[in-house]
Amino acid sequence: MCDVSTGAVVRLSRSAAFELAGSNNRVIAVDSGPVPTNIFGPAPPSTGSTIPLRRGVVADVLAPIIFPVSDAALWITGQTLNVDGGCSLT
Amino acid sequence: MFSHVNTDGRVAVVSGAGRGIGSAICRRLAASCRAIAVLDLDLEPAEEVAAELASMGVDAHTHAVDVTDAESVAQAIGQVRDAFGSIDIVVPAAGNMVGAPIEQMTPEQWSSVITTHLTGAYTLVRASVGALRAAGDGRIVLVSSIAARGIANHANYGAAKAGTEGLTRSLAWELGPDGVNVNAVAPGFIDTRLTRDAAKRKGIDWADAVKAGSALAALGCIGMPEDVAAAVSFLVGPDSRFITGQVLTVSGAP
Repeated sequence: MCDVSTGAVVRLSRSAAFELAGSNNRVIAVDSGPVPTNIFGPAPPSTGSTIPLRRGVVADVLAPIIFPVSDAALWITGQTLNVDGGCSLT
Repeated sequence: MFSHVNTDGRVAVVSGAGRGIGSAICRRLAASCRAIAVLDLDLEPAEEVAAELASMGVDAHTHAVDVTDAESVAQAIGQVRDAFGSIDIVVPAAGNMVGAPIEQMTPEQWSSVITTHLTGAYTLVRASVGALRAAGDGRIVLVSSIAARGIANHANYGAAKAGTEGLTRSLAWELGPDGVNVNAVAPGFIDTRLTRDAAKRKGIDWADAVKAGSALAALGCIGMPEDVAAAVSFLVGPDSRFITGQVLTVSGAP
């Protein structure tokens, strides 16, 4: 269910981007890969495959959040930033 | 507080660096690089960019390079390694745009665009990959386009950019285990010489082209090379160390 609801958030961010662009508001989603958290516990679920980069930690998925909310991303909206070590390529 | 890697003192190589998006990337990377190799087919604009970088305290060297010529690219990268000692960041940004309806597109037009964009990225990555592996936190950012989704009368360009995105994902798999992140940016309608020339060839006044491009972007304006450069800067910076194989669309629209 987590995967389904995450997918919905991605679509929501896209729709919201269209809706809010007129008021010059931007919407960007961050889709994080499985990292050790209170939800997943110390051993997050494996995708069953290897991923291009090594497994991540919470700080790895928090760090990129600064970019979308900064002036460096003023012409970016409706995008999803996959922060997952390449997990989404599997 | 989340930065793990200090990007100061890194060495970058940018092709197509004399104008447009490539030159904007050089200027943006100047803040975090000790040296930048400015590669371009035309030496004159490359020299101008290098002079600007030098005024910003960056050790900038120029190389007149045809990116479709693997040997000439390898030679330039050898000189970069000799001069700077290492390579941390590679951005193949060389591009051209020669469009025609498919039945009128000549084999030369087809090849020119495919080889400049796609083969040009391959030659630069191939020549630099040894240095990137040795860097420990190597970064490659390829330049795709929203045209990868399809573009009428520019099938060569759309195909080259779709290929660029496949190259990005393939290299992410291949180089990830060696600590090299590979991502792409996909710009929308950007104000560059390329897009201005394309409008001119079609007999479209630039102001009208801007109006049409702005209407396509949800945010209501076309982009500037600096918008793309900012995204590239993020993808070579410390905050994106867990991102690889991704295409970041910079188009003012979903």
